[in-house]
Amino acid sequence: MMGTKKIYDAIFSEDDIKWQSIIYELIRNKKVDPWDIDLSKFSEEYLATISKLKNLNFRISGKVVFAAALMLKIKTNHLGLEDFILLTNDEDELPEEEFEYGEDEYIDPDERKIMDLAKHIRHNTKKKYLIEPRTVRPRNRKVTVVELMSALKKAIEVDKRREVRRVRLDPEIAPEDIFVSKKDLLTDRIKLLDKKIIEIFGKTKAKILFEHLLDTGDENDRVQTFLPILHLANSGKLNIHQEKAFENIYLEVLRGRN
Amino acid sequence: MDEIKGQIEALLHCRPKGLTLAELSNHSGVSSKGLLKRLLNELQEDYSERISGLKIINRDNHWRMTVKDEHIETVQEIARPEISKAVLETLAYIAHKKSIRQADVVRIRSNKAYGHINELLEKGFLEAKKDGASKKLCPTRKFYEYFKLTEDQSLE
Repeated sequence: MMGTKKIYDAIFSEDDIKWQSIIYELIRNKKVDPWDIDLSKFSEEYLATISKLKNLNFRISGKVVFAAALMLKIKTNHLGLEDFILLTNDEDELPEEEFEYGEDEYIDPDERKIMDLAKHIRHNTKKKYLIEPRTVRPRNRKVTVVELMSALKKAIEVDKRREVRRVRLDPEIAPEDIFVSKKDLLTDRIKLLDKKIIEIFGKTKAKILFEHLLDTGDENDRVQTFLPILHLANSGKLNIHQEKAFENIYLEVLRGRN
Repeated sequence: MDEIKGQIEALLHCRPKGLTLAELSNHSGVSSKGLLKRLLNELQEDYSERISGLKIINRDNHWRMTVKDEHIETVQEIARPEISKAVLETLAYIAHKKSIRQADVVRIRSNKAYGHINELLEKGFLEAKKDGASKKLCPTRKFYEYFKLTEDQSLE
């Protein structure tokens, strides 16, 4: 249908003001059947437009969501789904007389357009779409004392489970102790390693291979040795060189070190 | 009179959460609240006398049409309870403790308990008293009446 194509074009390319009027006019002039808009085509068009964009444009996504909501509301008003209207209104309000509003009452212009359009469609389209509204929403029943007891059983189970988890998580060592001891260890390690590097450099006067500083050479030893090196490099005592990733690391002792 | 009674019955049928006297007056066009109250009482009696699964109740100034207690078990599977499962667990826990700080409830029942507590306060099943930075929560008389419990009865 040609009109449907126009709706897509209006949403995806027209400016922010014009596109709504185009939809209203197309429906009013019967160029588009609001019941026959192919939503899968609509989403395909949307995806195609998005993929063509060079920059992210939230305006289009916003327009698509708004247009979908608009068309849904037109249908809902037309079908007179009081249950749906009740759900979208405050629970305490009864549905107002359909599409009747006083002359002095302020109605949002967009809302008025939707209501007018729904009224227009109601009088001009096939009756077969109309649905007999349900009068009553499902009733809630009273909660029994048996249900209360079983809820309590479950709540107590949760309480016990959480209690066990809390006991497990309770730390046996105070966090301050851990941090203080770690801090001391690291500063000690930095000093020791610095001394070792100076000694080796004093003998060789050349770049030092990282491997020569290791004790056991295992993973933990490598990390425990590399960390102080980073600190020494950061404080301007060393330069670290590595030609390629995973290849040998060389340490250059800086002459003007503090 | 019978016609007005029929109108009231229809209104109660269409609004499961109930209507106040003012709302009933507004929708039925009966301005006399005395007359409305008399007709509601009559309707209540009619329902209790006839063989019916329904009854008319007045709870918190809201007149409602609801299922008779003896039929609750029958409709248990198909009708949703007035209090959701999670909220009921929070209520049961508080009622079991009789009086507990809101912070302790949240610690046990997670942050969602804030929403549960607000709903229960609104429905009048709980009352809150200030307790330092937190609140102390206790079940209300309405809670005991609703579940047909006495205050000294243990929930376990």
